[in-house]
Amino acid sequence: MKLFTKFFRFILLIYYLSTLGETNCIPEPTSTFVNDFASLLTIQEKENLEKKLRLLNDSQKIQIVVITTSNLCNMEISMYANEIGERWGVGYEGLDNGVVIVIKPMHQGKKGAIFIAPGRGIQGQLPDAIVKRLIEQVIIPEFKKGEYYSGINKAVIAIVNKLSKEEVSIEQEKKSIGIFELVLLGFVGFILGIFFGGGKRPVIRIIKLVLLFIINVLSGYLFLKGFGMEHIHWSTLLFSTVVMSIGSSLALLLSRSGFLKDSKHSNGEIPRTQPLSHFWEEKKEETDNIEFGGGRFNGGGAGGTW
Amino acid sequence: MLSKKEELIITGAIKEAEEKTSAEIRVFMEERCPSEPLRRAIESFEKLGMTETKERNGVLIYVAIKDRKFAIIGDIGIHRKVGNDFWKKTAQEMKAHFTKGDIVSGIVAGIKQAGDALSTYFPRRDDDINELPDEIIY
Repeated sequence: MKLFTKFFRFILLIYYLSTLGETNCIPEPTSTFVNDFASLLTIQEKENLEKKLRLLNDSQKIQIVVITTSNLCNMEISMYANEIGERWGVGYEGLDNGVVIVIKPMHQGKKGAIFIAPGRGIQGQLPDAIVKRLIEQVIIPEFKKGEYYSGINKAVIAIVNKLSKEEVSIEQEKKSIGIFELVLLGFVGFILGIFFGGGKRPVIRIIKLVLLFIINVLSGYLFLKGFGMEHIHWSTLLFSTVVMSIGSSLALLLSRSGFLKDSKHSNGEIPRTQPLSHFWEEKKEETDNIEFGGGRFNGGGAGGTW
Repeated sequence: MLSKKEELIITGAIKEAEEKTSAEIRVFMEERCPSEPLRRAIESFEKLGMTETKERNGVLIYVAIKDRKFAIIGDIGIHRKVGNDFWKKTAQEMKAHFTKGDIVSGIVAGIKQAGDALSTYFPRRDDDINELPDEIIY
């Protein structure tokens, strides 16, 4: 009996150790994207690849981790890859856009294996069918030649091409203003300029200009929101304000030089028409449709100030 | 803007000038000019229906007293006859009075110049009717 319990404990211990070994078998997270535990790459190749993956991470927020190992900890290679992804936290939180590439080389006559595990956030862009084709048509042929670096490199390029198309276009939509938006902003500024231009007294003119500026800033902000920009940087706002102000200035200049008739001025600003008020009223309707500049007056004259 | 007496002087000058010509002369005065005086004058010319004369020979004198701006303009009929120099010369003469602070004399001088020119090219005929009222417009 005693012997049996001892034996039983021994079995338990062995079992415990083996599970311990299995869980510990998965390597701890490292600080590099390339983890060549199976020593398939030269130092130069490792550096090249690392540089590329780091750039990808910094510029496009795509995280690709490459692991070569001869020990899959008695797991299926797919499980191993997913386990790495989970434990190492590959990809950005919320986006779940990491890619784990695990490569097990041929070893002592055993078949080699490769698995590419895209995070849940990008499985739409990297469906199984595409990954499978990539592996079979691009990677395996290189690996068979023993060209591990070339195979991995091609895989990375293919994955980036798949991912960055959408990533980049999303970035563009969010962060920059296109020609169409620019023209629209300028036009809105122009219209605002027509409404807020002029004024009889300098004080009113200045008040109108300040109002115009404030409205330009506010409507610029609203328009940017309307264009689908969630976070508007102050420089973008400044830029839109400048564009709108250019439009407004154009309107002000044109109205000053007489291209735009300010109808508000011409009506009712011939003050105190008592002696001829009946005349004025009579003629008003007829004359309302006279456009200044293209008007009927066709003579000459001279004027000035004193 | 003007006293009754000043008003009479100006309307008198208009009447006198128009006795010799078939054309119309009017004066438009306001305190401030919302734009350039020439532009404002042309605008008013049209608004006042002065382009309606048969021979297109209306003349308008425009004065913005507070803004110290003025203009004298004539429709195409008279302009063809007198040319640019006439307006310039008349404007200079008016300005000389204005700078001395004599608004009324400036306006009267303008009316006289215009009247002389108009009477040369558009002399009064017996059947002539006063096409437009010849008062000052404020």
